[in-house]
Amino acid sequence: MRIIPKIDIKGPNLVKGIHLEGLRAFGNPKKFVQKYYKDGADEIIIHDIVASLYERNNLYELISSSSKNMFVPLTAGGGVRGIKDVRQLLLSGADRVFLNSAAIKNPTVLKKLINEFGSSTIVVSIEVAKVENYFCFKDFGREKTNLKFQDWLKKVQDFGPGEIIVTSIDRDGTKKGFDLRLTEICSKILKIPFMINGGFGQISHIKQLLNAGKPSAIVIGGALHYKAIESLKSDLELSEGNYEYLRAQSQFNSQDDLIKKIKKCIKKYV
Amino acid sequence: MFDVAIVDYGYGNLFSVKCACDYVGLNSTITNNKKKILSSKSIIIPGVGSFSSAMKVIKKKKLDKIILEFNKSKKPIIGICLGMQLMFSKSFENGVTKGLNLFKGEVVKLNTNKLNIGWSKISCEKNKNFIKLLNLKEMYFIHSYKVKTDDDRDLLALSNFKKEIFCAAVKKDNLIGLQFHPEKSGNDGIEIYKYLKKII
Repeated sequence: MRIIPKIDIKGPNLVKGIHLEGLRAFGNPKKFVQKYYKDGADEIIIHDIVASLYERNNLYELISSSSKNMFVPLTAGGGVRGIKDVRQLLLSGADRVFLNSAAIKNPTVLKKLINEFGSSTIVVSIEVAKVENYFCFKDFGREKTNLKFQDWLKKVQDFGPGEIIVTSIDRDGTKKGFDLRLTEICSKILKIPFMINGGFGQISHIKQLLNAGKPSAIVIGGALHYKAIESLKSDLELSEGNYEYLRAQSQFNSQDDLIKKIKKCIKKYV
Repeated sequence: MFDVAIVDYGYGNLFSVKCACDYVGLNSTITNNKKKILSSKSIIIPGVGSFSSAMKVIKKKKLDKIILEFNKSKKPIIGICLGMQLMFSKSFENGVTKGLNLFKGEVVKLNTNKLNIGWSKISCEKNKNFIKLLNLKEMYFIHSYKVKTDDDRDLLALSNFKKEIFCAAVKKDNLIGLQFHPEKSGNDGIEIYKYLKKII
């Protein structure tokens, strides 16, 4: 099981919110990518979170400069609409590309991309929140769709992507633990590998997750970022966005060597 | 003259391979130009994608002939992932397709019929020197097909996926094939590029 830090970017900054909202700016994402690579991340996900909303894409430079001294797989997405976007990301140094909004708008695009680039290169991201039932969202959790999670999950699987990332909007940024029910549903429905994202806060959450199902990867954002800024703080070149809290010297209550600790925990239970 | 010609047939993580070369100080170029390839000290055949469509492009661009000609010089050729599979006699991915036939054997689906994605330990056969220092190190794999060698002497390293043991690396004379991605396997993977630098 892989441990994958997720770097969400907006403009020049890494950002992190709660329930995908109330974003705080953390500064230069490159520093985080480097740190997580050195700390033993199995892969890195980079997500341009406003790209699909504004239909723009400024990931390429970040990806190509990150690839130069980072030698684990890099999965990138945000604003991916078709073959041209995927090719550009791969040429910039991404190993795999994920998409959400465009696949919801027009599922045949998935088929096209998988035919062109092979299933192992294409990853589908699903953002889900509970509104009585589990429903899928697009544009980084901004817009609810009428797609029921289970239905979409089955449909996506039939298209045959290499992997699926399932993000719990309810748990994102809360550090209260993963949505275990989501993991159970995925384990039951999916024959292809899936990654679980949203809610990690402490090591005990890993054990709970492993009891609920067998994801191929655990995706972590905030719990890592809040620790990382302690060592990166002076180096972050803050320029725009909400970063007042960084100056406020707050205590973030996160753990050292988190990636190594999680790996140790997984070894014990798998 | 380049240390490494990274063979460009439109598939694969060419840029990552180039970054790894840069990192260890190998002077490399991404190319499908005959002269450039033949004059390089080594070539890397990268690859992500399907065997049949890759082979189609390789033939169309006459890269098969160029690679075979390069091989006569006995300079190192490294195939990575699909690039390794392309070095074999034939593949059963989307029908039967002939490969470069540098290694005798075939490419078949993993028994589980699933994509193997993630890190697994490789165990190295006997004393095949260069990879020995990578024995029991974890490498990054992403594949749903595997190679079966006709000649056991070509086996360099094994790995496993859901209890299925498969070939993780092969070596014969100047030829090396790696099912994992050394440029995506952290510092341990970079050792392969350092090795290449040493032998060219």
